[in-house]
Amino acid sequence: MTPEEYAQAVRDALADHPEREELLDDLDGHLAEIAAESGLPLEDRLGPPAAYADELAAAYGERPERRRGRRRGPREQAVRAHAFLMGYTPYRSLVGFLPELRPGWWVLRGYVLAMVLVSMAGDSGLAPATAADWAVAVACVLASVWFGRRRRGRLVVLLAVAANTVAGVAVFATMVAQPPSPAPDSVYMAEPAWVRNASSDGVYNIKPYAKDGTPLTDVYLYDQDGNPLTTDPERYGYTVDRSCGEPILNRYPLPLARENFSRTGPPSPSPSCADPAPSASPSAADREPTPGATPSPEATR
Amino acid sequence: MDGSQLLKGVLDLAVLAVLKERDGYGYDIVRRLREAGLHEVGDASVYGTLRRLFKAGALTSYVMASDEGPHRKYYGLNEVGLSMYAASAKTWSAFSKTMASLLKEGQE
Repeated sequence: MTPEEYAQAVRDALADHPEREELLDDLDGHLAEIAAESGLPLEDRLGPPAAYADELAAAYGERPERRRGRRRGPREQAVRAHAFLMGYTPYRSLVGFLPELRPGWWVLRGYVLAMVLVSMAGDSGLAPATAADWAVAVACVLASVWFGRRRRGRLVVLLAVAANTVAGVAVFATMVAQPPSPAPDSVYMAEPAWVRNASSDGVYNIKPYAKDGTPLTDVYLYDQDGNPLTTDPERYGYTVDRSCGEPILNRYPLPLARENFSRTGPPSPSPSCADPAPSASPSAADREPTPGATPSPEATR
Repeated sequence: MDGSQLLKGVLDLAVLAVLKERDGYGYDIVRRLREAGLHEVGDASVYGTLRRLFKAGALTSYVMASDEGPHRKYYGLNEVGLSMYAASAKTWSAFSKTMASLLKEGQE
């Protein structure tokens, strides 16, 4: 930062000081003196201009009381923030770099305005679809660039602000309006749209039967992705019977018990605690004795 | 205790003392204060103090051409400044004497 730039930043930071001119009377000469004495940049030697301005104002005397009650306007706050940030090298480089981005913005602005016009005419989309759309796009881009390269009068600045605002809002709206990617739906069986039962009651349990009408127990159900299919019996006043330990919630029929309801027993046969999983072979207790296999005492006689 | 906090209270007197010795311009005064041992003195604080003393009517100012660069604004004490210096110096002497004896008592 040159002494002139530094002095200007201090001046900006003290824009609202009622005695600024008196206070900063020979600041330029003073800063030039300091800069001439050593090769160090002023902001390294004196700190950020905004801090320098604060120290100056503090040493000059208490700021008049009316300043404390008064709220700073947004423009004044922006000026102060800018002066403060100019004390930092990354911000200064950014500010120095921004003008180089201007031609790119002109092109984008023209294109976005063209797409806004095309959308208003009926077609919607992010890219020109017809030859007419292309013509509008090229014309708008050329106009935007020509407009950007003009010297700035007051009217031109106002038009530029309006065009930039429209284009900025359109860019933002386009980004926001992108269709959301479909989120994976969780399988929720309590009110499934695809499971219909004859009554209007919801589905809270499933009773599978074999082809010959035999009730099946311990049937595990999964959806097409391998996620367990579960119901929500609590919604219907039932609780899962946990007397045999934590049950597996996608093994049907669920062992349900209805709270405060003793008219009927559990609505589904409970699997026995001793046999939580279907066994591959029947146990010895279940096997019917086969009369022919075992020789009877009478037969041997 | 931070030296810069103490300095705030006596910066006026320090600046007046430097100017009583001889007239000087802004940065020259900063340098002379630092050479005298007040290393923590801030440039903006000295500059702000100078402008305030000038506004209060304690200083005269005149511009002198410089060989090395731009014209320099020199400050010097006028009658008001001299009497301000005398009063402040007296107050400070009494104050520092009191502090010194207080610290002495504390050490015993």
